[in-house]
Amino acid sequence: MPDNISLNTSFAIEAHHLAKTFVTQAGVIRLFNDLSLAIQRGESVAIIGQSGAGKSTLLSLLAGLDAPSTGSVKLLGTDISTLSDTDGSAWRAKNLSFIFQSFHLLPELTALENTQLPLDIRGDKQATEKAASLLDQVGLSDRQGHYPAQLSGGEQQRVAIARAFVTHPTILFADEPTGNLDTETGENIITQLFELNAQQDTTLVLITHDAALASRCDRQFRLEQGLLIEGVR
Amino acid sequence: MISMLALRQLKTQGRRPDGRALLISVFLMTSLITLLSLTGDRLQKSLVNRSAEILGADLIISSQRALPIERLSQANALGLTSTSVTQFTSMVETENAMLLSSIRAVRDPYPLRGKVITEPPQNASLPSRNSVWVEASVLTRLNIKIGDFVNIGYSKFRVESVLISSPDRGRGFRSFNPHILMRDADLAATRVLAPGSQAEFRQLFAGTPEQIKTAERTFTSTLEKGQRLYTAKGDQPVRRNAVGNAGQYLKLSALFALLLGSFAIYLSLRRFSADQQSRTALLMSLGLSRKQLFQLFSIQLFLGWLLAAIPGTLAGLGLHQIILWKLGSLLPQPLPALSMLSLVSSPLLAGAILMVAGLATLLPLGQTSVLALIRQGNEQASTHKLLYWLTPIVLFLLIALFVESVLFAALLTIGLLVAGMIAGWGVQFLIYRINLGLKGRIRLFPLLTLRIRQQRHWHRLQGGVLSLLLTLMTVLFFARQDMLSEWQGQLPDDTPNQFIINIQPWQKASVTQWLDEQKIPSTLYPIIRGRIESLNGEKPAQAFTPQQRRHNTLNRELNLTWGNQIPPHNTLNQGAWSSADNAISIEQSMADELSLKLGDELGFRVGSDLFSGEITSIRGVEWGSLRPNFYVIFSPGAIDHLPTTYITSFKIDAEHKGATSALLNEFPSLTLIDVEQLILQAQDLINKLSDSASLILLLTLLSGLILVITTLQQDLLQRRFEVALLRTLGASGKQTRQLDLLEYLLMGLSCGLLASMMSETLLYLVYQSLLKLEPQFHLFLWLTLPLLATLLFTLTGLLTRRALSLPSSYRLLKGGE
Repeated sequence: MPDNISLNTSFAIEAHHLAKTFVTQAGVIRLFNDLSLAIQRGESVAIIGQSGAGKSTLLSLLAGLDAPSTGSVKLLGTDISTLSDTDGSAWRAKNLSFIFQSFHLLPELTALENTQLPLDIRGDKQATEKAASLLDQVGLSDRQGHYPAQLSGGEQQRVAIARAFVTHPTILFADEPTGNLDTETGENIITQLFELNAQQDTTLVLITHDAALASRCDRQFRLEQGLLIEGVR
Repeated sequence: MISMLALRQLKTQGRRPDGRALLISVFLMTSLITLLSLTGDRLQKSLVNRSAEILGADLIISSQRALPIERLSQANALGLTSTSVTQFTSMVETENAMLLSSIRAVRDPYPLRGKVITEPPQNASLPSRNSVWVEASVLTRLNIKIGDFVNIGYSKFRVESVLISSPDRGRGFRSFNPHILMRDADLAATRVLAPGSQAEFRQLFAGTPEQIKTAERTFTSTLEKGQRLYTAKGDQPVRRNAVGNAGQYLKLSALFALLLGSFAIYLSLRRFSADQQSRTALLMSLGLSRKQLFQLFSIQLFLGWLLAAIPGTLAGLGLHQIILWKLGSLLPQPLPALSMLSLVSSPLLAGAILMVAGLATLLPLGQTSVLALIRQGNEQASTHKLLYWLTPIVLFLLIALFVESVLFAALLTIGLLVAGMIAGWGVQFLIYRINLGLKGRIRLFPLLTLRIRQQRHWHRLQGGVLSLLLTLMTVLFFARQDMLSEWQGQLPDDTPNQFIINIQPWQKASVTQWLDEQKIPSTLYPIIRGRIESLNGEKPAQAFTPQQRRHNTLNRELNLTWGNQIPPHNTLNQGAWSSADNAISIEQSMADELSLKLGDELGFRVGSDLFSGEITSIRGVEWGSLRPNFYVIFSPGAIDHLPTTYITSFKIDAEHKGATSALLNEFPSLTLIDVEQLILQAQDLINKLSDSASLILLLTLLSGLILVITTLQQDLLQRRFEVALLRTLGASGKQTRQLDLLEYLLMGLSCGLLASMMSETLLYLVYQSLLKLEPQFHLFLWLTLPLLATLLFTLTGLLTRRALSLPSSYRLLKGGE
């Protein structure tokens, strides 16, 4: 393992003085400036904000998917922007997971195959068994062989949740996970998400515009005009 | 406003890979179809011209012997006009050069149908006395001009005119040599023909349809052995010749190109239409009516057509010129003029295909609801069921209309589809097997397995098309290569390269003496032409089965010979050579196929003479040995009293070839055939034909590749999305790159392997049944095809692949890009 990777920290995420600017034809757009945040291991954190506030961009910076214009992000004590593409990918595969608003299952793969995909990427030989067990936990053991098109929206998101937890991630990023679901289904999904989160002691970063959902997290932040303010109005 | 919008949209589309693929598909299809239809049309026309011209009469009786006079009186009684033609092959010489030519000796009136066209034009329908009309190639090959003199046999003729076209060219090998027309009255003086000489005698008849009908009935019932009857209506021999086959080949290629092209166009348009969805929804939410939408798409399609089909047509025209230049002398001259109809038909066809496929995929966009804007493309504009089925049917009818036969198009389309489907399944099976072999060997195995499952439909299509095309190209390439090298390689060094035929008895001693002087070992064999009349006293109709009766030896006059022993280049397989008066020796395959055995008695007719011989030996004959070979050899005494000519073959070195001129100067009526020259000509012919065929096939392969690129682009979005997901799930850029590369490698390898298997099998069959060559294993093919296919796939794959960075992966999944 390279020297710059260390797990010896109580912080899951440490963001220092983050700034993100975009250069467009209209000029430079500064999405946020000097933004800092620290999230403890096992904590659940909600980030809420209006459309266009930059929630998703912040998430991609926190997850190391994108590089900040200035500032730095450490995940579990590691600045993954300093890792090579291969090392960085391996690190992410081991420690991070994502849940998206629009599920993003591959239509040609069954529920089971979709679930085991991250394990396949890292070459886990027990991928199938582990994926089956996770599907069982989200209540889809009888749907393993079904294709996404044969599943309801709620079921698809449960497959996505199973896929996110199958690698036992240290940090889980969920970007509007209930955005495409009706209230009741969304409620069920979130309950399942928090249960698994508690079970696996995962650090959860949840992006939402739903204040009620945000209130189920340990801490809440509001992203507004480039500033991150703790607590919900 | 609509036109401007259409133009702007087209500009953007032209820069996108799928827009470009559409334009390239249309361009390639038009150029190929222009090339094929122009070439096909001109071949077809020259074919029809020749069909009409070929007889020069309404009815012809042809024979290898001069026709009895009774026929003429029969014809006169029926009120028919008639004339006679003698056609033979002979050497034509000047002081410096000689040329094997097909000479027709004709008499007035000639021809009875059609017209002889000469340059300069002549009023008379026949050459003047002691003059000839010759085809242009005679002038160039003998390096002479009009007004010069040529020798035919013992006579000297003045070249009066160039023969531009003439009916009644005759058939078979004879008709391929340069033609010369002379008066029948001048024939005797040349002394080229003597009893037993090889010539065709034709009696031409013309009359009203009723008269011809009656004559046909009368003549058919009284037709003698060796006589054949041809009528203008029933005479289709040209259809079976090389020109006819070339026409079929062009049609087949055209169909292939059209199917590939239409499919590529349809797929690119589908892709285009999917892209247009939200734009259309936006335009319609802004108040664009369906009619205006129709206009918008029609203008776009029309502009696309202009941009691709017009240059395509020009490119096709250029390629057509290249093929004409390549085939040049092989085509019947003069070529019919370029037909405007076939020139415009291919861009029109491309336009029609573009419109049908285009409107079928684009018009349903008119039903796009504005909701599509809100739902972000989750809702696909579905093609109407009727339209879904109607499009391929209309496309098929267009294609059938173009190849002028629904049945041909249907059979071939189904054939190609079935072959393609089988090949597609084959490729998929190979991919599956090879991938299974990788289990536990590579880390990406599970992902590759998923990828293969995910892409299986496209793999089948791409694999089917490409492996089929590669197979066709390979078979064409190797069949030609092997045939040529076989021809060159199988002949031993002492193989004769010259034949002399038509040696008259009084010339025999001198020719032998000349051969001795040149120190050329050679034997002169007598030739007597006769037919088999009976077996053990029974007529062939009773003695042989219907299949046996189709055997070569029962359907034509045979070259019979006699001698004191079996020729040294034959082997004695059964029995023993006998010098008894009526003993005959027959050839092995004839004995096998006609179930003849030792002791059987075969009856023959030579002219009006009937006689028989008892089989006392059976010989093995190497027909390709370029020595005089015979089915039947008599012992001396049985037929040596009959009129005969002699044949011999010998090998002469290039530096001594001049000596043959001296021989011909001494005996002008001899016919010398330079076999080496003939083989070179045949090789040249095969080279030219297969070069042209390869060019056409190469272009078809290109359309196949475009189809592969189009299919790769079809799911480009899906692929990008998949890569983005893999990237966010922890796959590195290197891993996704490797995954793509592995997929292309696997695909290419499987395609190449399948193409190798199919090619080797096809080559085996072609060698066995068509070329009659010893089948051989082509290691080179097994090495190159997988390599070539892999290269093709990897290149096209990499051409369409776009690397995806981690941030853009995430944005893509967020729906931002």
